[in-house]
Amino acid sequence: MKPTHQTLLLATVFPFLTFPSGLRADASAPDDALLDLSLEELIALDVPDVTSVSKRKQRLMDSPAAVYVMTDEDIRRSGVTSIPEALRMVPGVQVARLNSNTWSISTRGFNYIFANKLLVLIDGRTVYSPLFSGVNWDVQDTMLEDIARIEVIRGPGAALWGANAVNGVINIITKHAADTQGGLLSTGFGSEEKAFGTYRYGGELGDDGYYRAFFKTFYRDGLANSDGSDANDDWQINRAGLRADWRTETGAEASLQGEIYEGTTNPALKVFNEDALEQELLTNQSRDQKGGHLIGNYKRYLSDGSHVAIKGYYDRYENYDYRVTEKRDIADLEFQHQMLPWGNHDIIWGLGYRFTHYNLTDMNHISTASPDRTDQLYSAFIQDHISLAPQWALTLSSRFEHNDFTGFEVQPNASLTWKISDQQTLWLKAASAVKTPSISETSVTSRGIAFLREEDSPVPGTKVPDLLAITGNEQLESESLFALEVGYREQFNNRLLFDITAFFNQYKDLLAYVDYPGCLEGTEPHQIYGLCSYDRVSIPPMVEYPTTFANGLTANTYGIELTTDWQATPWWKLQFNYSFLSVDAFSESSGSPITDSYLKGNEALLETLSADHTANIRSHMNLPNQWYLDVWVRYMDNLKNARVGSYTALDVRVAKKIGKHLELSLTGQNLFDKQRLEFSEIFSGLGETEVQQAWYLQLRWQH
Amino acid sequence: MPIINKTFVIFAIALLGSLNPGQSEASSATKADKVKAAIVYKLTKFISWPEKKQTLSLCIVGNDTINSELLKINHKYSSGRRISVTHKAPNAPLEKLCDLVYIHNTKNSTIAGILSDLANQPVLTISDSDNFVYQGGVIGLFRTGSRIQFAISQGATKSAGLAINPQLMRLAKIVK
Repeated sequence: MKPTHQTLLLATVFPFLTFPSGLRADASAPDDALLDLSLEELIALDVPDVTSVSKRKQRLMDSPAAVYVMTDEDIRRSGVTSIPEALRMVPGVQVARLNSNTWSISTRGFNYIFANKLLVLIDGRTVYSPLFSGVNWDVQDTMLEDIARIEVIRGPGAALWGANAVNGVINIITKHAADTQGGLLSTGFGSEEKAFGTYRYGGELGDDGYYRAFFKTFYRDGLANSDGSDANDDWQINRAGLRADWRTETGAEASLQGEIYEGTTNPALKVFNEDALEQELLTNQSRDQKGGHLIGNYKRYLSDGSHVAIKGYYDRYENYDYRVTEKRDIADLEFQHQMLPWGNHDIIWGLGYRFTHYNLTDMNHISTASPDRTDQLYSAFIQDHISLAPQWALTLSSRFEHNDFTGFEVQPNASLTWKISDQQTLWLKAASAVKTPSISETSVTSRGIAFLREEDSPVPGTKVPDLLAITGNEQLESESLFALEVGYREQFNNRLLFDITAFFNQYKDLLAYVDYPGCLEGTEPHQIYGLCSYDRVSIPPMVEYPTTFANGLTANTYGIELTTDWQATPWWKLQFNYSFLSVDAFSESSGSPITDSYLKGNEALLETLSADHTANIRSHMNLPNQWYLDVWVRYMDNLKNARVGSYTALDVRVAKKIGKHLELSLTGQNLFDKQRLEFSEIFSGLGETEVQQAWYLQLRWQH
Repeated sequence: MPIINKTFVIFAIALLGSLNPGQSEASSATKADKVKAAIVYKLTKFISWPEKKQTLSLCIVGNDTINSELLKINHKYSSGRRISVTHKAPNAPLEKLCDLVYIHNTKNSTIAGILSDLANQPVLTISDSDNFVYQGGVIGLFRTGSRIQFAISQGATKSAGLAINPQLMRLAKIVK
């Protein structure tokens, strides 16, 4: 029976009465025919998933933190071949490559090789090394096509994530096994990526489960020396992984994943030859690394809509460095419960335990009183998300930890979100975080690894380069941060997103290198210069400055980070981001003029470690006939301490899809400069090499 | 010359970028919305309520782009019953007003409240929220890779007193 005109009018007008006037149903003819299909046909249809993207966009709009999400499409279209290289596109993150397999990655300051104020997690497993308080980026890898997204939260994330999430958290999340079904081959070759190949296959497990397995191998060429000659820091790593996700009969979600890897890197090492009494650059010492991990997850939803989750993982890492052979085991267990006790409170609380065991052997230039040690970390956290009013939300959280270095630590955090409209959000956050001392800062002595730069030699006439011996200090306290952040996000007409964050950070008890009393073994005060020397009479003397750590610095940093996402046309997407950072360091007089001069030197070091400005422009075009053109221009201001000038880099990627399953692409990287020094420093003992212009060809085949 | 190259690239992008963004685009129903609405429509053919019905009242709880698609089912016929589609607030007396409730884009705690109010009532509850069938809902729509599927909770079907045609059970994922 035909509807009457009245009912027809009502049916047409009703949607406009109930929803915002901008909403319009798509009236295309073929899709209306869906109502005529049978159920069998409907459940067999191929339906693209756009809701998870929009859900995530909404979650991001409401988030009271400086969050940046890098999607799998961002990773694929940028042409990067590793996680450290992908992080260059994130606002507020500074990435500088020291040599072929070493990167300095930090956010909001403190650009050391062992950048210790950034917590990095892959699927909830921490990859931060407590030995040298940093991340071994060369072995943090997986099949890039299996990464769902990388969430980077700048600012203290300690309450939810743990100590050492002082300046930020990088959370790498891989795809659910259901989203990586079928086979995928990704292979290619190029000027720096000499050869690479990854193959993954995913299938179903029983009634409600999925799995995937992959194998990845690559061989990367070394970078260049400053004179243009080939540096021998090429490297090669093989990796294999497995993941299974399934649902139990009660509806709980469970997953198990694991990876193993092994490979060889060849960074040049600067070491002191005690017999010849001079600095040597070792370029023939290969460094093998191997390891693996296993992670289990279980999440159960309760009838009131809340959930309970348990995670456990085991991680093993072996590092055969000329200076130390390091074997590390980590076992971690975490429990989390989400409660919805009253209408406007959403509470998550959790408990965690982590056991870390280190075995250090075969040490050259490094010594420690405890080469075999275990450390335990106990933690608890709670977060309450309170809806004060339809547009206002207050989040209060805190983390409580007990560690074996400094004992008990509390890290509270409060944030306020004002949803001005569906398209505008303003948020404010005040947070406190700590960085606990690492094993190397408390109980390791290194000699003959760090050398002062010739131009920095405190006393003229010594046989440069002067040595820096660094002894750990068992009495160290944690470094602490109090941060204030404010951010604003606006979504204009569904095509343009604007996101800006401003922060002010106050650090206390920052570690500084200060004088260590007395000369170390093998050296004694020089008869003329008085400095600790390897030969008390030789002229010029081979000087070693003994140092140790002290919580002697405070610093204030402030800056802004802004991002603009613009879908200019349906086929052209642009992203622009810019960050500014300013660092001011201070020290109090210690009473000793020598210590004070060290502290002044540390102040200057902290203030010149980072670039003041960084910027990125990325353009992604979907051209006719399945051609794709991606362009990425990035700018990094000069790094004064590293003696590296500002630079602009260009990466271009051209790709062609053939049919539904095959993609061929050609990527050019660092196209503006033939080669470029990106970083240099004195503490890691690693030699620096220069990043070169490069290209590579890639084939991706899905079946 | 590197400087000229850099400037050219930046200018080129800036120039192309100055194109007029054009009219604002309204958000519209996705293919997933249409498929879900079509599945809801077709499901009703295979389900009988304890009392014989002339009209089936479908209440939508929640606001999102799928609402316009579900409203297209209004006045359609399913196994001799005329479907009437309306939108309701979560705290409305759904057990009195509805034979079917489609819940979406609603907080988990609100869904839990609705399901407990409708327990043992002859109301068919359908939703695309995660774990709906494990929370007490009758039919849950979920995604597997690129396809949309549905799951039926035998326990919830029984407590609602609904009879489901075996043909439908064959196509569904069955959950106790």
